[in-house]
Amino acid sequence: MTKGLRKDFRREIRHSFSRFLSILLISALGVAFYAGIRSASPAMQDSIDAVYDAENFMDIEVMGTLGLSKDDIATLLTLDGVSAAEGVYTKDYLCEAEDRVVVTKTMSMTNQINQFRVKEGRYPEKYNECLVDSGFLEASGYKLGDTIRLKTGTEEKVKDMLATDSFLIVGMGETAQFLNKDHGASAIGDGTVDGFMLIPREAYVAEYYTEALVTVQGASALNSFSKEYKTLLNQTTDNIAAAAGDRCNIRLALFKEEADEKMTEARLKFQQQRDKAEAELADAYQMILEGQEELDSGKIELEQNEKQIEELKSLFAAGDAGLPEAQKRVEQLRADVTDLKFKQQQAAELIVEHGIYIQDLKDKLENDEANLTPEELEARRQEIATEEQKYADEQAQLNNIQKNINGLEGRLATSEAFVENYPEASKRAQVKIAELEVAIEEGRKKSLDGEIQLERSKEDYKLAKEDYTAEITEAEEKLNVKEKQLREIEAPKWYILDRSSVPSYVSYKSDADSVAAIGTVFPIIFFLVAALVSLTTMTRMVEEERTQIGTLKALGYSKASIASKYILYALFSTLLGGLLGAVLGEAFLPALIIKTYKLVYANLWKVIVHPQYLNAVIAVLLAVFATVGGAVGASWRALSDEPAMLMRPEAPQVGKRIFLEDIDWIWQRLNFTQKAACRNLFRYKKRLFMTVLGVAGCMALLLVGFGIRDAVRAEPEMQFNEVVSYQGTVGADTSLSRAERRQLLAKISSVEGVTDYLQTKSLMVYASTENGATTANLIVPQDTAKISEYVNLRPRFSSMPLPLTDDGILITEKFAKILGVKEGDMVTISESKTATPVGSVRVAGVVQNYLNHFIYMTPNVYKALYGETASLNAALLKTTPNSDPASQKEQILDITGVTSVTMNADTEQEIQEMTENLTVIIAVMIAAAGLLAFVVLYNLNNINITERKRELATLKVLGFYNKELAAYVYRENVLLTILGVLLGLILGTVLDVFVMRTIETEFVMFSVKISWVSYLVSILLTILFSVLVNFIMYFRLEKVDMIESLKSVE
Amino acid sequence: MSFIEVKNLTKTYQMGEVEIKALDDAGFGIEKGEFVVVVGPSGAGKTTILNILGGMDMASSGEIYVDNENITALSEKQLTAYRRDDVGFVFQFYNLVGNLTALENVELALQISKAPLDAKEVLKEVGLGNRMDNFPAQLSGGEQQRVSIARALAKNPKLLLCDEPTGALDYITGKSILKLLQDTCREKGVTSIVITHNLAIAPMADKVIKVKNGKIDQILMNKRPTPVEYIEW
Repeated sequence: MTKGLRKDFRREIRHSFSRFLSILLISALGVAFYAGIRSASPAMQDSIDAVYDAENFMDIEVMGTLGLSKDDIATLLTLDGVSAAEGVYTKDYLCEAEDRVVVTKTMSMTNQINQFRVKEGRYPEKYNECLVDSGFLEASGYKLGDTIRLKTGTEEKVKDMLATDSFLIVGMGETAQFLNKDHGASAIGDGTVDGFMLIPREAYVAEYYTEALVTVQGASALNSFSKEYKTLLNQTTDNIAAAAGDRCNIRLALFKEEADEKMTEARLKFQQQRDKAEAELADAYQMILEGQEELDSGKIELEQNEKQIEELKSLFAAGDAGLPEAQKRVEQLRADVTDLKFKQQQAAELIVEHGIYIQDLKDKLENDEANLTPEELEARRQEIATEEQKYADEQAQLNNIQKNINGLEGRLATSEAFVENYPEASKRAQVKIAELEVAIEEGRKKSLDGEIQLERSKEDYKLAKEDYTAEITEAEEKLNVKEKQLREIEAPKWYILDRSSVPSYVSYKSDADSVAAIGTVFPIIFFLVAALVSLTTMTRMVEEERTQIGTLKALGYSKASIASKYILYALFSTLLGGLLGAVLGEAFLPALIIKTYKLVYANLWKVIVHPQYLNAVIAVLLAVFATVGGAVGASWRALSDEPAMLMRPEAPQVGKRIFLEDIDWIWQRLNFTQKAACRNLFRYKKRLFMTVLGVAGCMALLLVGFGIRDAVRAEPEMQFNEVVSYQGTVGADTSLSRAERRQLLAKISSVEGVTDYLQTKSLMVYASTENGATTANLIVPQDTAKISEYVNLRPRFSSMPLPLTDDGILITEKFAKILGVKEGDMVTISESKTATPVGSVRVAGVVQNYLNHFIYMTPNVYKALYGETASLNAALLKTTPNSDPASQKEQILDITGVTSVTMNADTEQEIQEMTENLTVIIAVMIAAAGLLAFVVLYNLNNINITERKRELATLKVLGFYNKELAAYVYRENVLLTILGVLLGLILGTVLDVFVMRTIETEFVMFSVKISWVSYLVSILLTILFSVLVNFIMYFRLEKVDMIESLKSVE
Repeated sequence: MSFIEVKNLTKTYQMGEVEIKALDDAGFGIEKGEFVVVVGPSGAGKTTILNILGGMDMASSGEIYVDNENITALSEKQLTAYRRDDVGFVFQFYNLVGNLTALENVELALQISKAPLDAKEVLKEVGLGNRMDNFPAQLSGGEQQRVSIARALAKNPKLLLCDEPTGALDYITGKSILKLLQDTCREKGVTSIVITHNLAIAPMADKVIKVKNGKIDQILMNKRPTPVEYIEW
């Protein structure tokens, strides 16, 4: 470069500083996004790696199906590659809190591996102290200093493993094992671990460790996501696997001894229980018999009472009828008596007279005796005798009358007494009858009650007997299964797991991968547009300086030295911009993204952002390549022309008819300016392409931004409105008897607002196929027909629900995707990842679902799979729409035997709160989209106006008002914006699907459905950006100088 | 008062510290229907006259009356209206919109005109009846200039301003264009002002205004203008 050229170069930059700046900024933007977002994923990895190293997080976890002995740990320590190994006890327990039952994962304290960060309080020192994490405190409501009590939630006892079941919380801390709130799944309680608990080793009485934590020599120096780390780990894993066989055989022998003992004990216990239950049943039966007897005797008494009443009633009916007659008779008798007494008196008087007469006769005789002849005497004596005879007769008759009177008077007294006493007697009898009637009424009622009571007792007895039979069968089944299992026990196995068995590691890794995926697509769009814009700008610059190039060429400057100006211009601006972008992008974007993720991964307490030089270099090189390439290309084209050609104005681009003109019915409908606009569009193809791409990119970014929000927001809504139609889940203690469970359900039904329930067997299972594996909620409804009222079991793109039959299981969509299965395939079910599989089952259908994984299974399929009847342990609840879930939850939790209550309303709210985190990402997207639209449109409009300065000046001279001129130019921009929006709609929708699929976590499926509001807002925002740019360009249009039209074409 | 009356027209440009007088107290009058040639060497100020007369630039001082209207007193918006309704402009480099056909280029001007003529008629009149659907790139320089003239005429302007209309054309074509302009002026009575540095074509005008160093040097009247055919240069 000569001095002159150098001067020209410097002045060029100064004069066209806005162009220089625009290339610089657009390169900066592209590079910043490219390098920044691409560096976010490595930064996320570095950060977590630093946390793992700081807490000396285990590299390998060895789990033995029958536990690990101290000898096992000692063996591990001797293996090559193992730098430390510690045995730990882990187990999930239930812990009752004020308003719920919390599931807590417990782990014994370690010496080196998996160190906790104590945030409050201190480490446990005594055997009955513990340290918990914030998840536990939040879920339970306990505070430091509280004492908690653990329960197993199964038939096992806490004391099987721990010396005590109550612990004093002395500290709160966090571990990298749980980066977020997700503590994994559990087989007890509501199936989700709420928190974590660290317990001193002294508290453990169990003989065998549940697992061993291992760190690998030299692993902490490596990035846990790197290949080197994996290789190193594989070597150690192989060593452990090699040692596992011997250790397991030793363990098996020991186990078999113990197992026989245990089995005998269990049998004995079972028999005792059975005897007790049978005795109870016999008692109940006896009670029924006694009741029957009592009822019978009551009935006899009742009959007697009824008879007595009948008699009394008939008696008094006769009495009532006889009373008037009796009264008459009394009167008659009285008259008779009076009569007779009169007669008697008369007779008595007669007798007295008769006696006197006789005395007279006698006296006369005495007097005359001496005077009288014997005959006369005899006659007289005869007469006296006769008279005396008569007198005696009369005396007898009088006596008779007296006797009659006595008789009559006796009868009269009787009749009189009857008449006098009858009313009182009748009254008394009435009272008696009333009494008897009451007695009968009572007797009847009692008898009826007795019958009902008896019927009830019989029913109860029947149910109890059924329960007994079922329970005893179940228990026996269980016992048999257990015995069979013990008999057939295989040699224990060691599962050697790496960090990918830690749920938060997996989800964090997948998030880092999502960021990497987004980092692949977004920056590339951004970068591409930025590069194209710079390229266009450079091409334009070269074209503008055609004449100068020609002149220099004519003056004899070499091609290289002429081109060097443009190449250096591009190089300088892009390099400066790129470096600026790389520095800013790498400095801020990864940190911003990690900060956003920290909202979820609260325990990610280190943020390490190492500059990713490679990304920066690649980005800068790509940017430089694009612009410099553009400059080289454009100047090469210009330089290959002859100087004379160059100094003449470039031949105007040949006007062309466009295909639209051939379609008469469209073309003829357009007015003149519309036609002109259409033609112009096709005339400046490069510009058309760039503008459409820029607008489309903006539109797509906006759509994806809003689309993410839509999907995440819609997710709980879809789940709780579309998929499930129950409002809550109740977990019950598995040890409840059937009667207790019935009682519990009756109480639940009586809670206000609860309309219905469906009993289920619910448990977490581990499902696997050759293609994949994950945990899922297994739901076995008691009433298969009723499940459709609680869950909408239909495939996503069908309106027809699938029936749940004995034909196989129904599984949810995302679950099917992870397992890689479809209808008709087999899925292997195990209790957990490390347990021996229970069996395989056929998939009968795949149904829509958006949150968690579910397996729906009929009781028959369950029985066929597990070899035992599904024991119900949960219920799905339906409530009325306006009822209060919080009070329902409280009331249900108060019921004895209820271990957990999950109201869907709470879950829905929780998820919705979490989605607020996304606001940051969406804001970044909108800002990026806005920037993109602005930069691209401004640049292109600028070029457009510069290129067409002459045309615009001419139009001004022709008398176009500024507004008309603007309309002439804007018409094209409007068309381009519309085209861009349309393309962006497609691009954004497609991109949204891709992005949603990458940011989906394992247990979530997003329904990729962008709402019309988001479409509308995206379109409006895009148009707004476009309008804004065009508004600014209006001032540029105003400034177009008409004198330009007079200048010669250059 | 003449149809066009230019009085004490001065235009100064401020170039940094230096003040340049492009026009210094120029004054002349033009009658309706006159064919006027403004002639002068490069930098004499003839283009400045054209710019101000055409409403494309503002005078520093002085007045111009066109049809009794003082255009130096007009606002920018009024000037635009003046350009669109009263002035027809013919450019040295035709300034056709490359993406529009000949007909469409004419129509482009008609879109905004108050009392336009029929575009096809005007194109026929300028001799392009059979090239109407061609794009500028498919037309020769002369033909393009004809389109440019047609575009100016179709607006039915009071005043036709031509800036070096033959400057980019060869001799013969240039002549035919000048003839077209002269004929149009005669037949339609449109006041036409042609600006040129070519003194040779001065005889064809009714009035010749010579400009030199920003001042009006001389105003000549041709009683009998020479037909273009007889002019040689």
